[in-house]
Amino acid sequence: MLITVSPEVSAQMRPPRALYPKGFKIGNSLGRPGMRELQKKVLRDALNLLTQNTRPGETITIEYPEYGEQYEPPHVKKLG
Amino acid sequence: MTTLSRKCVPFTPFDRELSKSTIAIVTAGGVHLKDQEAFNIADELGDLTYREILPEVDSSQLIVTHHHYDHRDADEDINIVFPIDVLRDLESEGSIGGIAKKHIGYMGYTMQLKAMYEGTAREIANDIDKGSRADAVVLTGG
Repeated sequence: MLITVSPEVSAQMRPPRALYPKGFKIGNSLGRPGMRELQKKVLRDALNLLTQNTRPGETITIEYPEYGEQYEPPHVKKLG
Repeated sequence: MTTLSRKCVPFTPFDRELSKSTIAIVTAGGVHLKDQEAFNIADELGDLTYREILPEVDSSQLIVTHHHYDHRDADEDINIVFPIDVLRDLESEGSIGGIAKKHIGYMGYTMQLKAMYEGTAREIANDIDKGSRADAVVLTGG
């Protein structure tokens, strides 16, 4: 499963299972440095996608308020 | 080797218990050991090579070579893109069964998409499939 901070971009690669930790910035896939409890929570949530009845290709969004300041993910440019 | 349509989602049902499953990490975040050859960021086309990382790695020996994202936070704590110590914690608490025998770092930027898709990606998949004994893989980007 994929942990993505660019859900629109990564969806183009059609990962079978994906978690988007909402508002995490690029380079912070599992949270901020030193936030081990948050990192564990994100990794547990990602691994749990394996045993949940997710739709193939679906990206699951989960909010983690303890992350703090939120960031807007990059968007895919639409042609035309 | 089976060739999949690029439009299909390669979904494999998972019928194991997580607490008995072995997990591998594959990151596009440019992670490698300090004593491994750095990724070639001078090549504007990108670097198609990858680095193997063993499960007993000391995370303080891991660094990032990647010029397409801000990795200052990862330089401070590699676990935010390569969660090897986090996996160890989950193994200790019994959430997962074990840590795979091989993990992979590569630089997820390339202008050589065909070579990445048909070459590097398949080589990594085969390497993990045959050499890591992983039941599942955690993928991370930058």
